[in-house]
Amino acid sequence: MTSALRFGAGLLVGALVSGAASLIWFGPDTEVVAATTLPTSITPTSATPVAPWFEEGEALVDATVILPGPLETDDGVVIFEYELVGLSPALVEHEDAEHGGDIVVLPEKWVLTTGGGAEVEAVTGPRDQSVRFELVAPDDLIATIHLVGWRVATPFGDRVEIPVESGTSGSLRSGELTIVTVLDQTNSTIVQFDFERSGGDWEFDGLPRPLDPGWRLSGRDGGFQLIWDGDDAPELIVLENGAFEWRPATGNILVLDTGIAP
Amino acid sequence: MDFEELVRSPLDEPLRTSSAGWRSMVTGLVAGVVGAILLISVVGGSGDEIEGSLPSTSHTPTTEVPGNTVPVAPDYPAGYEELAAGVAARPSELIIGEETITVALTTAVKRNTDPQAANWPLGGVWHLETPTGTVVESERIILGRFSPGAFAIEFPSAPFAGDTSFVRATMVERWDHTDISGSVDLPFRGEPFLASDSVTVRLTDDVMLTIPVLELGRFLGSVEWVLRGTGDTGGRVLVEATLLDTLGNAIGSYVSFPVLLDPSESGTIDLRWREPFPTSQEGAVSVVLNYRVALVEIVATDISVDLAAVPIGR
Repeated sequence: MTSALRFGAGLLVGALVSGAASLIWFGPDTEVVAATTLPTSITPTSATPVAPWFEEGEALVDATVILPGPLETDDGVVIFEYELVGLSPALVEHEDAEHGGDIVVLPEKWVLTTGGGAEVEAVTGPRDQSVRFELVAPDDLIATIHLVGWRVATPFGDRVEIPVESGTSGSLRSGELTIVTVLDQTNSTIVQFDFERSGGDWEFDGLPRPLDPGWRLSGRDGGFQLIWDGDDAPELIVLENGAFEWRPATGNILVLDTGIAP
Repeated sequence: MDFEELVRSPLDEPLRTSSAGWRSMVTGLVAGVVGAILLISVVGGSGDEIEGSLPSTSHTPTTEVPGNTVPVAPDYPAGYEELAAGVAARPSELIIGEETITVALTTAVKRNTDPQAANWPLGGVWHLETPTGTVVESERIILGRFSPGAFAIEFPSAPFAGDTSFVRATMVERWDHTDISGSVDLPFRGEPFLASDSVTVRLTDDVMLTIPVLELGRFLGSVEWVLRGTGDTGGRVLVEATLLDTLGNAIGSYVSFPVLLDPSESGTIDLRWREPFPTSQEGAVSVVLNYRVALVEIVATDISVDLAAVPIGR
């Protein structure tokens, strides 16, 4: 069940239960409680600069929500756990209904501010779910944690032309594509490729596919290969690639406020 | 690098789940209780019975209701423009390349709607506009293979000088679609599997899907498809092929991904073995071919996203 459905279910159940309880409690002629205390319960009391998407205290970065988790300190080392929930549409229904939407932002650069005003920086990678800070003074109190840098999901089109010869290569956005072997068979030509990535953890290439449908694509250990049936294989292969990068972005998003003034 | 790394993304692993849902239920429960009490208080009692003055708040945006001010949450995160019912987008970067200009966007579903039930992906034709009014039309729409909540609009860079700035991108045509799903059972004839017969399925009274070629290798597969009866519009086809053993248990499956959103009357899609790697077809006796066909209907639109303040990258 999604958060929205749960919220709705809770709303309905709460309304029905309290409605029934009210009828029993108040009765048809019971004096109505003074309304002066009621509205404050349903309106936020703080002027939140950005409306929280799920609940107050959760940080919204682009279309991804950061859910603050436990904050633990041990001898000057601070571990702050977080979870990400995507608000972007998902293409497939995940078996885990709590998976939510697609995640288009991954946190990267963080700043912790201590009660004394000192700032401590930390960096996280694409698979991390916690950030680790090392305090200068182990007894420092923690005031806030801000996210100051993140990565945004960005697809690209990419295209490369490679002559069908062993040893030739072509560049993609995040690496070098090389023809390792050209195998001339009786009734076909097999071209085996290696792909050497030059990008880091934030850049990915999909599987390049040939524009000419005469080439058949198949996998092999260590790379992939193209197969041309017949003895008239072209001298040039044009490959198109759905490249993908997590591109850097900056800002200053308050993720955790302990209430201690820096 | 090995093949597994080649096609893997950091989000392939199910590493993120949320406990927010149950907190939402509790929040809803509390809101329901309070709302019901308030409703009964207001409706059940006459004006004479309500004493004192009601406090007001200064939050924006707000909707005025008699005697109170209720904050209204936005439908989408800040800066998002609705592209279609329930789905909005915001440009994240304008990337200037040698041959192309790419406008990268992220998407969001409407507040309190299910991201897994969203009408996505949505392609279309976009116009890129300079401050002097020069307009160029998009060449294609690319969906994020490793994050399908992101997409990119690709424009030719040739009409523009290197220092050209851009003010907006406007979707002038949207490819709405009706999805039709179904499945076909085929006998498995051994690795590498190559379906011996063409498969034809009637999707509607007018539209037929034909799959003349289905090939399943150890790591990869491919499907050629043809749509007949769609007129000039065409559609998109996605396929999942699942191998079954003699007891009907799933051995593994191949999945496809719609990198390019342009509709067509025919095409070839790649299939890749769903993780984990490595895999084997050993024991397979049949193939269940699940298809999802998006029959596209072109809708004229005039929806713009502002590019003036969007970061420019290379």
